[in-house]
Order: sequence, then C-alpha cells, then structure tokens
Amino acid sequence: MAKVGLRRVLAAVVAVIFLLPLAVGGLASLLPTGQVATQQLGVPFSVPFDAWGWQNYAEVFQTIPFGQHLSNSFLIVILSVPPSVLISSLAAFFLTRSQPPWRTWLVAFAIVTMLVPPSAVWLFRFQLLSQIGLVDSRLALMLPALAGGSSLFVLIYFWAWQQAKADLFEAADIDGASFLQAWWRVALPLVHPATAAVTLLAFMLFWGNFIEPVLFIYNPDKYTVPIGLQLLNQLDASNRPLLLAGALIAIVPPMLLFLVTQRWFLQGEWTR
Amino acid sequence: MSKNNSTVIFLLPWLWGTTLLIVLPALAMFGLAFWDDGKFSVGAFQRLLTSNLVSISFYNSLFFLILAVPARTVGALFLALLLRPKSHRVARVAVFAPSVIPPPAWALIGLWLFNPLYGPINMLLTGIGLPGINWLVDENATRLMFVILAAFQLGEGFIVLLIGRAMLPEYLIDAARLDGAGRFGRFWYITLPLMLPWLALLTGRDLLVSLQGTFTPSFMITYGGPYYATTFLPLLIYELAFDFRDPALVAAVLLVLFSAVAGVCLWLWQKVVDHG
Repeated sequence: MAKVGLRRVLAAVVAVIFLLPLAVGGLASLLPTGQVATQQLGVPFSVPFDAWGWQNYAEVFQTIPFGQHLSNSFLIVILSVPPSVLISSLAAFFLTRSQPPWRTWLVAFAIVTMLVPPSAVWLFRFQLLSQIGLVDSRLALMLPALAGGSSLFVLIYFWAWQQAKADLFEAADIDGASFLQAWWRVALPLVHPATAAVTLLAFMLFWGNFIEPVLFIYNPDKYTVPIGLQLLNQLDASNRPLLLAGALIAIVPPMLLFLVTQRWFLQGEWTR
Repeated sequence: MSKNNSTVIFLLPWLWGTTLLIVLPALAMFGLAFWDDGKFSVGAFQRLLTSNLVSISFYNSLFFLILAVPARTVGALFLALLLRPKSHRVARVAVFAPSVIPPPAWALIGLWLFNPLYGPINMLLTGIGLPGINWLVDENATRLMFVILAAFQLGEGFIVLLIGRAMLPEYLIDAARLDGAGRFGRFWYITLPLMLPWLALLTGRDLLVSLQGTFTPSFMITYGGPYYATTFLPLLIYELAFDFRDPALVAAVLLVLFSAVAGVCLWLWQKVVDHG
C-alpha cells in the first residue's frame, strides 16, 4: 500500500520537474521588457496582472518578419511530413516482407546510416545542392523527405511490424493482395503507434531543423522559424522576455501535434 | 513468400535517397581526410593530433558524453519503469514534453533558466542559501548546463525503453515474484539483464544524438565559449568546414568521430550478444 503511494508521489514530482522549464519560460515571456534588471522568478510573482507583457508576443512579429518565417516553416513541414511517413513506411514494409540475406543487409544499411555524424554530410551535400542549383531554396530543406525523412523512421516501422502477427501478411498474400493493398489494408492499421510516432518525429525534424537553413538559405524571404529565433537572439539578446515569447510561439505547433498524437504511443499496449 | 521484383520500387526512394543524401557525401568526406594537394596523404591526421583546438573539442565532447549519455539513458530507464502503469498517463506526457521543444526554442529557454544574474535557477539556489553557480561564465558550469539541457530531452529513450519493457516475457518476472524475489531483486536479476539489448541500442544511438544535439545550443547560446569550453565537435566541424583552409583536417576529425561511435556500438553489440 505504501509502495503504491510512494510511486504516485514520485510520478507527480517527476511530472512537475519536467514541466517546469516550459512553465517558467512561459511565465518569463510575459515579463514587461526592461523589467529584467532584477532577480525575479516570473510573471505572477512580481508583476500585477494588468502589467503582464502580452505585447511581447506582438513585438516578436515587429522585430523580425516572424510571420513569414512561420509560413515558410509550415510550408516545408506540410510538404515534407506526409512523404516522409509514406516513403519510410513503404520501405519498411518491403523490408518486412523480404528475406535474409537482403533483409539483414538493408537493416544494417539503415543502422549504419543512422550512425553517420550529421556534420559529415554538410560539406558535400552543399556541393551537391550547388551542382543542381538548389542552394537557397526551400526545396533543399525538403529533400530528406524524399528519402523517407530518416532511417530511424524506417526502423521504427520495421520493428513495429516485427511485433505484429506475420501470418496476417501471409493471409493477404494468399488472397492475392498486391503490395500496396497489403500495406494499406492489413499492415498499416496494425501499427498506429508507429505512424503516430513517425509523424511527430518527422514534424519535429523538419520544424526544428536549425543547421540546414543556416547552411543552405541566404534569401531572408525564405528564412524558417529556427533562423528567426536566432535573428531575435542576435538583434535583441538582452531582451529575454522577447526571446522567450518567440520561443514559445515556435513551440506551439509541435506541442499541439504531440498532444494530439501522444495517445497512440504513450498509452495503450506499451503500458501495463 | 516470394519477392516480386516490381515491388522493389517501394524500397528505392529511401534507399537511393539515403545513399545520395547521406552515404555518398559521408564517403566523400571521409575520403577527403586522405587527400592533400591532390595526392594521398595522412598529413591531416598528424595535424589532428597536434591541433590544440581539436583536442580541446574532443575533451569537451568526451566530458559532455560521459555525463549526458548515462543521465539520459539511466534517467529514461528509471522513468520508463516508474511510469509504466496506465494511470500515470499525465506524467508520461509531461516527461516527453520537453523533448518536443524545437532545439532553437529550447536553447533560448535554457539561456533564460541558466542566466547567472537573473535566471530562475540561480534565484532558487540563492533562495535556499546556496551560492549561485556561474553558468555561462565558468567553463565547467557551462558544460554542466549543456548536460542538464540534454538530460531533459530524453523522450526518445523513454519511449524506446517503455516499448522494450513491454516486450519482455512477463512470466519470467512473475515467476520471480512467486519465488519471493523482492522488487529490487526482480529488477536487478531479471528485468535489467533482459533490457540490456535495448539499453545497448539506446546508448549507442544516444552517443551520436546527444553530441549532435549540442550544435544548436552551442551555436546560439555560447558560440563555443567561454574560452572554447563549449566548442563541441559538431560546432568545431561547422567552424572549420566552411573555412576552406583545412577541409582534410575536418574530414579526419569526422572519420575519427564516426569510427569511435561505430566502434562503441560494435563493442556494445558484442557484449549484448555474449550476454545472450
């Protein structure tokens, strides 16, 4: 009995600890600017409600063209996430239906490509993009989607299908279903947690990508949200509430998607 | 089950795309390490061994990894086991939430939290009578800051271990309970050994993920400072790569990094396979 109580207390403590950074950051974003010359925890404690700095959020859009950054980022994400999910899931289904030794080699390929330090590909990917004239284009940022986003997504789907019943796939084969039919009607519905996880991870990958826009984009019209945040950081570094307001705005889309999809992979079969 | 040749087309986008975007650039980069003035040379590796900046960067990265990877992996294991029961749904969501924060936004939040003069963390410390820590000014404190920032974003490992734990044969654990094994005994003798493959997988991957994750904060918050304390390998590579003085050196650093990570992964894999 006491053990159950202890566990519950621990869980609550853990939850609070992990929510603190976001909460404190959010509260601090509402500090009226110019107030951060004294030590203070955040908004409710030292600032009356009518003096809360809601205008900080508007000021973000006045300091940098954040609206344009947001629309660039949304464009990239909307065009990149569905192909990533599709391509990685189809490739993984192919893997699932293939036999060793092919399958072993392909899984090894997936794992090895995940071990390559991302920094190793910057230079030559830049060269590649210049050759095909795609430097300074948003398309350059979407290219990984055509490769399925990341080998991790392929592996997630592959492992999910490994857990599913193999005989279902054979049944589909006997019925004469094509690859696509088996994939769409039999295999995919079995792995909703994987689809939810990959969708979220793909969104996070394309939304939060910082280094690639820094390397490949020079036209300010095409800047994305991460660049916008760095611009804020450079233009007005001491205005911390403003920076936090920008950060909070950037956090909203992935966080909303997370809250919607978490029910598929944070609950259900993987919990007791 | 026969492999119909035409279905290969569904494999190709990922296969070719990954080859074009990752494999070929990486191979070209690694090859560059052996190329000097148009001929084969290992000079880059000699320069690697004598370069001060490179050794500082390796030291920083090692310091970071030794602290951050265990924190993230052990933390993820503890949390995955603690928060397994269905009723702890809210806590699971809370634990995963910081990991959803995009890196640039997390860097800006960190910039505020760890502000040595006005930030909440030092305010809390001084509030309970401890001295404030010189984040962003003292070298070790700044590196520790990066470790803490990385530790909060352990969501991916958390999920992997939740899955891993859920896939364990429950009857083994039940048998141990029936035999009278206590909570800790069950964990140490049954659960933990069974979870080793998952932990190995996670550790191997996390070495790379957490190191690469230092790029955005080190770029935005400290730009490698103070006094190069947070010049981790990814930032070093960025600084050197786009300054064409010595691409071979950059390539040599990358090759060493890749070999080290792959080596550790292979070693972990061997240990797990031996363990059975």
